[in-house]
Amino acid sequence: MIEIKDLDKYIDAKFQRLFLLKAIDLKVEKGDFLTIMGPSGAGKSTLLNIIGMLDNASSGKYLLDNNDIYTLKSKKQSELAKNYFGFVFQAYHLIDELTVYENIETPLLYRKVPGKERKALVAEMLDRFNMVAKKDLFPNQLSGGQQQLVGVARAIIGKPKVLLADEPTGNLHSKQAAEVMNIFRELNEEGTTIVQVTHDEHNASYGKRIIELADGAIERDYLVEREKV
Amino acid sequence: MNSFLHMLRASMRVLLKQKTNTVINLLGLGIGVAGALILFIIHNHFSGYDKFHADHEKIFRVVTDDNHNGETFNLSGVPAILPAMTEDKFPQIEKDVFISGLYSNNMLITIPKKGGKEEYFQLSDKEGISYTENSFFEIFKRDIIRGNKRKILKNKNEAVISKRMAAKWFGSDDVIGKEFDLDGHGMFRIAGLMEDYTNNTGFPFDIFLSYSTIKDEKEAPGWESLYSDDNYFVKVKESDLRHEVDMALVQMVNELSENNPENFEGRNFRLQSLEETHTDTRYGNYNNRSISEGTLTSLLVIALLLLLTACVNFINLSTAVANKRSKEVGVRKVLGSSRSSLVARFLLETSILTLTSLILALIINLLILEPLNGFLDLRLDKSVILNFKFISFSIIVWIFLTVVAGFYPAILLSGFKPALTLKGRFNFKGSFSYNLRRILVGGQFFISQAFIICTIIMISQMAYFKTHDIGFDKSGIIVIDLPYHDNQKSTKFKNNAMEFSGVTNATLGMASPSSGLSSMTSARIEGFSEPYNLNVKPGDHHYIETYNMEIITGEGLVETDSINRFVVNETFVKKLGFSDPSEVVGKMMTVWGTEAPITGVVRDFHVTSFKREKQPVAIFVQPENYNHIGIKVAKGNIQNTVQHLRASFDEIYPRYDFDYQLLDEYLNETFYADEERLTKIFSIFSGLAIFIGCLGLYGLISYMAQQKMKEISVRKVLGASENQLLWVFSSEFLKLLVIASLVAIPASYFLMDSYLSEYAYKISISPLYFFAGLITTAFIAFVAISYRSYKAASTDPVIALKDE
Repeated sequence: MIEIKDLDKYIDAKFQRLFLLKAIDLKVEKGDFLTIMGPSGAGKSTLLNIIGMLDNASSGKYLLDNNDIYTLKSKKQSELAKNYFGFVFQAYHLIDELTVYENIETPLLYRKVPGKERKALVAEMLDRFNMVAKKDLFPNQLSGGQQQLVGVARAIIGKPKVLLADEPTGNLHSKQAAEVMNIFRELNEEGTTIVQVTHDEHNASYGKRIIELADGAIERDYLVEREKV
Repeated sequence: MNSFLHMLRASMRVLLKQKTNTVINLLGLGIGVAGALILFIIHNHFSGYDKFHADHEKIFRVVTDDNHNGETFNLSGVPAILPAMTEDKFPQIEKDVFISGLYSNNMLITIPKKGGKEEYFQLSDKEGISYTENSFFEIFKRDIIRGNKRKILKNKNEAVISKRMAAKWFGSDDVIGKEFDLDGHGMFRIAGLMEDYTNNTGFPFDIFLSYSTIKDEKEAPGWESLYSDDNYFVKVKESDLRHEVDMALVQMVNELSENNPENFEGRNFRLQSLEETHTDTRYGNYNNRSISEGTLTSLLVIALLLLLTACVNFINLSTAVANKRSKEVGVRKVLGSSRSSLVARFLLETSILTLTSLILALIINLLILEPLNGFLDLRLDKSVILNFKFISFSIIVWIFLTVVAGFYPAILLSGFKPALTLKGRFNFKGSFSYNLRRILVGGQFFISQAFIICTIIMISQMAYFKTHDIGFDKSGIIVIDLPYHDNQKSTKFKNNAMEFSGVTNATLGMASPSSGLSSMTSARIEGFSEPYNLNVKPGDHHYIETYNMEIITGEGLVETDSINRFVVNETFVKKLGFSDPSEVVGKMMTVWGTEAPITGVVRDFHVTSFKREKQPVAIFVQPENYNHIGIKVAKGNIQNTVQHLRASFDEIYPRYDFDYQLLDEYLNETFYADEERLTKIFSIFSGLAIFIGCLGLYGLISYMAQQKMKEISVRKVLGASENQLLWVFSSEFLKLLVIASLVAIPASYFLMDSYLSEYAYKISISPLYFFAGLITTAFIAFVAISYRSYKAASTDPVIALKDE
């Protein structure tokens, strides 16, 4: 589904070129649950942003279901991004001025989903995450774990093919974290491809495959041993 | 539609959440828009005079230009004989009307009642009165409510009065056939009732009298005399015939001057459009209010500057909170929002603000209308705001504001890259946006400085008007217009006045030495072939002493009952080409058909305002023209003297109301009222512009504080003091301020130079004014900067640095 070939990402400083990612080759199949790990500054988030098309590579190739992304017009690019990806962030990034209900609904508005259908979809999501009673609250009235649940609900309501998560449990304590990770696993079992960035080995164990980055390059790429969990 | 509601809801929540920002924005925009709209109302009012007459562009006034010895005297009137000449020689003229205005103030109306009783009403200067012809109602729009429109004012001693007058005099509209006596002008029979005059007409008359009553008398002097209140209006067949009529008038003068060269020397008649009667300040009108095109345009320019500065302010503030909004932009983009929908969203937010401020402005305008009427002496009502034209204009202003103020911030905000903003990393420094806002703040500094400099200069010129030596003593003088002249009564009043202990002197005359009422005539002087125009000041033998004029050479006036000698001024001497005043003493001069010697010369004084050059003057005794008394009172005696005068007046003139003025106040009101108002308007609006500018400055500093937070924290950790940090901010603004003043100084110099060029006597523009402008702006800016940057400089560096 995702195929990255010899991809570089660098910043040109005054006298030198600073590589954030170097010569990345990566394939992610449909239904995979990939975890990107590595120390701070290794390029994990950069790679995730490039996969999610929030950022462009400096060189290299990115094929998304055989669409050669960097040859497409930006309008077509954002069209693809809209349909393929959902994002979950470490800092939740909910819109403070919108209620739980409206936050979850927002992606549907951008996809021009008709009102009735929107209502049904949001109701289903609220139900699934046990948030019906909280639908009229604003983000600052929720705990961190609840906010992240809203974040996840918002990410998946548009039925993205790939869910991208950047340290989704970084701000949560372990019980809340487990709840989110369980939902990820469920989603993966239902067929959603997931790519997550994390420091946490325990979180990584929910996934199927791990790549380890160091200094912008892929150091290791291996499958998770299920039995250990 | 649904997503629009979503946007609307989110926008409202944002606005309510960022209260300070919203309030500052609303204030800035609201005040700016209110100011601009008020200026538009004023402009609209003054440019709308007499536009409501059908075919108003075909209506012209014939005016007189007299050229004598290189000077032009512009007169709104024409000799009363002129209309008779145009009848068959001017096929271009479709209709014409002659109007002879009267000075209505203090005129007494006597209405006979049953049983030989009488009722009296004294007219004010707002209750205008004039002689005119029936054709007035054909040319100008003034509805006749009762009476035969085709016949009224055709017979002698007929009158048409307004509803207002009818209600006052008779308490009903049933006035046809009733009679009244007009102070020495005879009895008039009311033949018609008309609508009241509107507040945007140059014909503020409540009473029309039939011109045929006095026509023969008016025409008798032929071409010899003319009065500024004798106006002649013509309606031509097509407005582009104007030039043709002008040429025909020249032709007519040429023909007439063959037999009668004396009366046509240097004289020229020409047409003036109805609009020009209100904008050409060289000629008067019945409304006593001319506002020049330049002033009208400057009102619009100020309005536009106010709107612009409000927009700049808005842009500064909205981009200043960019940091706060950047996260939202990032999230929305990640969720699939297109850039255009974000632009729409920010524009919607702006349009809500601008709409609210517009409504705020309209409310302010409605509230301010009453004080404005008092201030500008107008009669505007709510309909100037609640009408289609004004509301549509407001909507245009709304769209203009939304686009100008909202577009740039919308484009800027919607352009944020989500990958960066979500990490809280972005920086404008050195970017286009950073430089643009420097230009904007520089622009605001420019506007504020120019406003301040202009205001200071205008105020100084006003002070100059009040304090500059007028050439005689105008302090402590009570002036009273006396009722229709009756020399016995006025002499008695004067003699009574001179007996009061506080009164040091008193004089009867036509007018005070400097006065709104002045009379020009042409005089023949022994040894000179050409006649000279001069200003005549009939006054009794106490005239020169009472006004404390200085006799340079020769003798003053003596008691007599007709013209027996003239006293002239220095300008007169110079005009004749003499350098020594004593050379004119003894020369014979003819004024108003009487020949007498010049016996003395007084030091120059200003006959009219400082806007005009000094004029040659002749002062002489001529009791027939005494309508006015000037009473010199010793210091501290004004109030009790007025009481004595009132008692004496009531005894001598029982039917009239006593009314007095102090000469210096009268002169300020007569000559400088419009300047004073303009100066006040300017001060108020420059105050507004400066206030809005301060808001913008505050916004920019907030923005810079965000930008420089890290720099400041690092400097602080390295040991910089708070004052040193203040300098980091201030130096930036100082640069902008100096650059702005480099533009503001020449701009305001040219503006003020042309403003002052309208005045013959004026202050000189010294560098001090510009310096004062710079210092004031710098001070205001410094106050705004200090507060915000002190706050920024005193932030705990640990918090600011933690983000990274």
